Amino acid sequence: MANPIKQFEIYSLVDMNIGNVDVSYTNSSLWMSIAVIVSIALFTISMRRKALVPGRMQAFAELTYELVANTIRENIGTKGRQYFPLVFTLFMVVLLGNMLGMIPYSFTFTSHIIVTAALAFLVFFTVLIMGFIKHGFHFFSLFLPPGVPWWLTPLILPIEIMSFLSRPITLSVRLFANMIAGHIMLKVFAGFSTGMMAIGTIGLLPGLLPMVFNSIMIGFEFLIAFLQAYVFAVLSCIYLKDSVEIDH
Amino acid sequence: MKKLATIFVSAYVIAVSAAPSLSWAADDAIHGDETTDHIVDEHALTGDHTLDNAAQAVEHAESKGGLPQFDPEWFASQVFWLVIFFGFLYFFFAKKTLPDISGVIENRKNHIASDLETAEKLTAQADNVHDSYQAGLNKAQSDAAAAIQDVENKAKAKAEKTLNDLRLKSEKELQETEERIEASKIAAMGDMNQICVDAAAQAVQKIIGLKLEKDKIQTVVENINGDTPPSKTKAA
Repeated sequence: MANPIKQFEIYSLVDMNIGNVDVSYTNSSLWMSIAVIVSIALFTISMRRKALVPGRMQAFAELTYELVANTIRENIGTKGRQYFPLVFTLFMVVLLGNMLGMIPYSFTFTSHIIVTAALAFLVFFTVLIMGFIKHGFHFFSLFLPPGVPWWLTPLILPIEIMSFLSRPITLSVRLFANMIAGHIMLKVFAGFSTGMMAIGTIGLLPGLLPMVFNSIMIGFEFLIAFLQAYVFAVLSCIYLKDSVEIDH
Repeated sequence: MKKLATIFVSAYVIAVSAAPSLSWAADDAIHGDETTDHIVDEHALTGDHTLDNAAQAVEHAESKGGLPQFDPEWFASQVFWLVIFFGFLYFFFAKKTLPDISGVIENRKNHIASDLETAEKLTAQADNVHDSYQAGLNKAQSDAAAAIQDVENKAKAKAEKTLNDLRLKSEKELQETEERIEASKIAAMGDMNQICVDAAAQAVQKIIGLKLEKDKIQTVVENINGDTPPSKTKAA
């Protein structure tokens, strides 16, 4: 049976170094570039006519735009406009990372904790820095929700700070774990199938069962791929809201 | 804001590229002393590559048990390329795609709004036209009614006048005729008396050969005429 973890292995395609840091162009980087090319091509082709009555492609581009725009409007408000490119890019990168990972023999860069962590920390630092710029030290009142009795402060404050600090971790681990679990599961079931069929004629029919299950799982994985991208965008919006307005 | 973004991005790049090397070092500290050397002086010790490779192989063998995700070997590379691609995509979306799409949507919104406005204006215009048409129609109707009434009144008045005139004229003629008849009756009566007188005088002369005074006969005739029928006059 093939190792289900092998699909996550990274290997260098072009060796590169900056100083003493290895920044080789790897298969992960390759799929990142494919994601960039695909998303740019998708939006450039679909928006080339800028038609008043959109065609199929343009309708898709506008749908994506409206999806992210509505997410921002609902979670941040009108002040969230400044974060629109950021959330849109996050959404597209995660979505394409997840979706391209569904292609057989491809590489899912969103299944790597360092990638999701980098994206999550980007959101985290954006909140932190923009919050400080907007509110100064008043930003710290984020850790003390309104209406809390003063004697609960010693209890609430550490909890709030912990929950704030754990945001990038939960955000990155959620995506990473979802991706890795789904891909390992697909591989394991495929492995069952091939394993059973390798036994011989007896294993031929039972070997079909994991295959059937796998095809259902693949559809489910596509849903997860989209859903996790959307969840990532929504949670980023909820976190970014703190940098825009503190209601106390 | 742009300057801020630049500072922000560069700070972020430094932070995330520093983080993996830190964790790398920490990881090596766990693995043992020999590998620490290889990390810190990887490029300084160019001559001792075989040892390096051996150490790396050992490290690989150790990390093979876990997920490749937790192998820090490629952390720096992945973050480096992610930052590049993400940054590129961010600027492409921010400068090109998103303004394009929002422009199209805005344009469509404006177009629809202006179309609606035009439609409203046209509706108002049509209403105005309809109103004025209705007003004109009403006016024409009332004008026509008035004109008809006028003509009718005039005709009636004329007819009445004509009728009146006719009546007056005929009444007058009737009266005149009556008067004339009366006059001719009187005249005829007067003549009759004269005839009677003449006839009586001639009769008297013929019967008794007497010539009577005309005045006398006249009075007699008149007396008879006054209260007796003419047959009695003859008998007398």
